[in-house]
Amino acid sequence: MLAYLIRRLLVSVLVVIGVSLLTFSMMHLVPGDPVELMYGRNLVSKEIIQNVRHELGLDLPLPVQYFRYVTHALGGDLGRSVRSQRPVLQEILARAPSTFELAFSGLLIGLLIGCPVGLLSALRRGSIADRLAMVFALLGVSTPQFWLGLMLIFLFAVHLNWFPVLGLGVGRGLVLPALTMGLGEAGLFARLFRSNMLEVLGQDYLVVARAKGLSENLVVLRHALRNALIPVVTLIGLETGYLLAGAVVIEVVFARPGLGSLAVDGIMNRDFPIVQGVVLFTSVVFVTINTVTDILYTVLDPRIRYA
Amino acid sequence: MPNRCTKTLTAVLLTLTLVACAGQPAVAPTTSAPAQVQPTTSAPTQVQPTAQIATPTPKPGGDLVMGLNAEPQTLDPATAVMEQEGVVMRNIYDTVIYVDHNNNLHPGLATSWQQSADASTFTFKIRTDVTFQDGTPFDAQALKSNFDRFGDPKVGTGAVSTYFADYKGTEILDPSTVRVSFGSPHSTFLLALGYGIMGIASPTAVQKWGKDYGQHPVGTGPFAFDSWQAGQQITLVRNPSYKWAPDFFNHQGPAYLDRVVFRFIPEDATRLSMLQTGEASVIEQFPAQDYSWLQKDSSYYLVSGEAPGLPTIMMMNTQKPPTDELAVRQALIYATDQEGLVAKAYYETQIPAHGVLAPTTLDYDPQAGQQYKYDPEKAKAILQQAGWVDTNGDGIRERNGKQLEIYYPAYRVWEGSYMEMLQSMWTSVGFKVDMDQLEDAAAWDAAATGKHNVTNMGSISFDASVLIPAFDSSNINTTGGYDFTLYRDPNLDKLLVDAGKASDPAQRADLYAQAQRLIMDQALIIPIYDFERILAVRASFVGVTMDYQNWYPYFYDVYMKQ
Repeated sequence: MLAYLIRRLLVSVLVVIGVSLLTFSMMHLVPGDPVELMYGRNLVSKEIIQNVRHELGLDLPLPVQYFRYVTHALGGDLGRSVRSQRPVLQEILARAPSTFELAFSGLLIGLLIGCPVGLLSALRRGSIADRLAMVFALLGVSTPQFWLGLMLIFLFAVHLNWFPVLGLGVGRGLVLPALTMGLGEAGLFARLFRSNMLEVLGQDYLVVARAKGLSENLVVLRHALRNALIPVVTLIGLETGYLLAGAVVIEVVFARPGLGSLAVDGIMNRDFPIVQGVVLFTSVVFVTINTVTDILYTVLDPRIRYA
Repeated sequence: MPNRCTKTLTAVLLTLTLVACAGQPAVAPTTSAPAQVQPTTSAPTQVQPTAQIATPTPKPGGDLVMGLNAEPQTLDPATAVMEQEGVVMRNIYDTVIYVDHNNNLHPGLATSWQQSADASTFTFKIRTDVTFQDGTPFDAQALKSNFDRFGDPKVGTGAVSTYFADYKGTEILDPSTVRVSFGSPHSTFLLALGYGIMGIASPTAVQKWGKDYGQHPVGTGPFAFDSWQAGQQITLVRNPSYKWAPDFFNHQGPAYLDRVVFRFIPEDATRLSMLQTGEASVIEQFPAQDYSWLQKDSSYYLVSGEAPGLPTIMMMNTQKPPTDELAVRQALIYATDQEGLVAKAYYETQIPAHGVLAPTTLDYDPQAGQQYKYDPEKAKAILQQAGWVDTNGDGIRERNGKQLEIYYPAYRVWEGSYMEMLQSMWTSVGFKVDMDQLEDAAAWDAAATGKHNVTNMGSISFDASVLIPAFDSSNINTTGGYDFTLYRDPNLDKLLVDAGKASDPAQRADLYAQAQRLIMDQALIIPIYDFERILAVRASFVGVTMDYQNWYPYFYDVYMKQ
């Protein structure tokens, strides 16, 4: 197990470096200069723009810029945003909690609604409940978040006044954004869980368990459930990446600060340090979560062992 | 496998959903107009606060929340470039001079001023009873240190740099008198000093915070900076020591409001919803289709004014065929229906433009561009006469085997409401319009590398000097420049350079007038619309007005209706 973990660690480091290099290259290959974009339609003199570009080291050769970036990053300095001159790490840490809150609560809602629905569907396969549940799941997955978010605002915030429009913090402000994210996730988990359960319920070892006289509840809960959970755990690992970054639409609609909108604004503004920083941060989190889920498998399924 | 019943149910529900989605933009949420537009000053027109009933002695109290469509990056007057930054700064800082809606100068931090005959030297007598919000006294040294920052090209890199070009220095004549010198005439400098971005900062705070000063602003204004939660809001609190408000306000002494909070809400619909629930007291920019009900609803009032400077225009590339031909450029102008565009895309909330400057701009010439009125038949006639004829009946004109094709790299966010309209207007007179919907950086790059035939431009500026960076051929883009017409004419350059140096207002106006007429006669640009700035306010907050640039709201006189 230890050898496995060490190997995983090394591979993770390589992945993060690769992602960072790729991002750097892509940002610089795409047309657009952050300083010109910053000034936009303030028609300032060319000298000012060139001065600022020089101050920020943006006129240095690319390999030099990347080298400087890496050496600083290793020391914990992710540089300063081109636009705001605020330290990148500070910008990320100021927004990370909000993104985690949204991602976590969205995931939680997704699981809390999706798994029971999926379970019910599998156990009552072919019934009306099953069909309705699957329609709901399909709707959840295909509804655009932008539309759903605004609809929830119009209904629950403007008309009913149950929740604020501004989706900030962890109290009532989190409900609508989390719902917007969670309903989509619920659809996904419901479908996945249902098909896993159906597959597992048909397995031979369950026939044996029933033949032994075990109650249906025990069969389902003790034997079937754990096996059906494995693909769900995989999905959680993969969804995390999407949830952390893909929350940008919800963040914009509800005016919630977050890493997603920080990244998107950074890309639109060609704010290289910001984009590099967010990508680095997100890839570290993503790689960590996937390692944790892989280890979780060994708990869920004793057949899985890592050498 | 879902059986037929499920499939049908799903199909029906999906269709309903898609129909409901039909009106929604598929890509990024509709962030509306530019966050970077920087108004300088303006000869403002209509400020229409509607439905304001004066109540007897307003009582102090209340928190005002303003919804901005983007987050400021800095609140340092030397480096600020975004209009949202100016909105916040207008309340934290005082300016040296305050300007009213008739372009009259009023004392601010300066009590009186003198301008030399050649407009390159300015002497100011300043107030001696003012303190910064951190207790530092305001004096000649403080003013000098601010001007030195603005005039230093390494420090004053923001919008202020335009007004401090050629800065020679500030002399302290006595503790309450300073003399500012430039190496060239700055005939509109005094008007520029009233600009919301030109706030005077505490030298103590600038020294203390250094590079981070922009996150910890300290001024002399009616509201002091309290806190900034990144990505969420900036909070200001009433400055209890404030007693130097300009004379055109309704009261003296501290402001009525306890707090002013600025929240950053990129999505138009969300901002409007917040206004409706009361989570916001005043918002900038809302969907144009909501204008008419907001105007009629007595729970809200609208404050509006026309912004000066370059209106939204299309700059035409005179170095790339077919827009290298005068006839083709003229045809494009005649084919553009500004009134129709404003009616359909903006529900009449914006103003059709017909010249290269907005009428509220200082030194605007009403004659320039008047020869062009929407006339698609005339456009067709001009093209026909120039030899562009549709020989094969496909709707596109040709000449010598080449199609009349133009490349239009469109800013998807800025031009989203009307780019397809423009495309269809031009197509209907025989152009093939190759339109690419791009994000800001890509569209800008296409223009900067000269790939465009038409490209969007606009820049808010209180005076005609904006024509210089836009049309002086030395500003044709290599590494930073804005002349996307790529037009090289020594006559035009001379007019612009001379106008910029003129110290006599009448002479300056005449030179700029000639420049505007030349630009329009040569059909270098297609006017689209003048920008109408509109704020929506909840009626319980009485007294929101805009400053002389019709851009930055004053909250000093605002109070809550009892």
